[in-house]
Amino acid sequence: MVRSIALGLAAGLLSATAAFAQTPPAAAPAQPAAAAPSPFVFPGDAGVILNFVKADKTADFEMVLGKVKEALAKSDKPERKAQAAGWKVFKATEPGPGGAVIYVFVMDPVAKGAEYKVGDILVEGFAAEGQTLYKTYSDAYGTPAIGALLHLTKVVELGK
Amino acid sequence: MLSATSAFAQAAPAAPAPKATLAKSAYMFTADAALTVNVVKADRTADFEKIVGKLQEALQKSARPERAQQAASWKVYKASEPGPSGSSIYVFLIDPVVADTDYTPSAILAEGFPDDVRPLYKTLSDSLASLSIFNLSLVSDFSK
Repeated sequence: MVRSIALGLAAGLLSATAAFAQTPPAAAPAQPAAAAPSPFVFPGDAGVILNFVKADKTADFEMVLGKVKEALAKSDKPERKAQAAGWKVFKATEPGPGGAVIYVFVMDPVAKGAEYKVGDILVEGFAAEGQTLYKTYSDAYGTPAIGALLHLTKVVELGK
Repeated sequence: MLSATSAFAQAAPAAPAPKATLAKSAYMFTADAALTVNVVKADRTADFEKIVGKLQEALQKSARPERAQQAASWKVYKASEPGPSGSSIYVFLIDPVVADTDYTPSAILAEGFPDDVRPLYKTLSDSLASLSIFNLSLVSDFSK
């Protein structure tokens, strides 16, 4: 029974984040300014994004993530360095819906006020090529693209 | 959309003081890190946070070195986003995982509070609407 819990993808949980479930992956570059705060800004202590990626597109997805890392590393903007310092990408053992592969972005700590839009980061780093990379990235997403996008406030560190 | 997993969404956390079984505990994490998503009933967040405090206390007072290691990389977060029916979402982020070590909350509570484990476990179980566990392999650390 315990093992079955491990496989639970929390249908309830993910539907709870329905506001984000249909959000396009890491908003497209060069979007006009919107009145609503970007979901890709994390005002708390940490952030988690569950990305559902097509099983046959994981290589594309990981290739672009390598470019994101490169763009952050070569950026002159201090906030990009701060983002890189706390951003890890994991692959879940558990499968996603429709055989999707779940990639989990963990931002801990978050860079306060910085926007974690992959499209913008790619365009900053690679100009026109960034647009192409972003298309590859977007095309890798399954349906839905994002299972959960959580803005997190620390409750406790159990070691402290 | 995720109906295939709905059978697990209501699963209760592991029972206290289980006998040895052939099945490996879901809380024996097999990868680099782990993420558990605890959906807590709207009126039970205080109970859940109380149990988190008990887990912290049990880990810290344990004489077993692995318990201190577990505590060192175990963080608890609360999401701004509400869960279903007004529930609250708590995330356990464990990075890195201590290999071959059981993170079953009931087992940790049983070690730390042997006389109270049943009511503590009941409080934990009653507070949860659903639970998901993810074993996570590191793909990339953007800081390196």
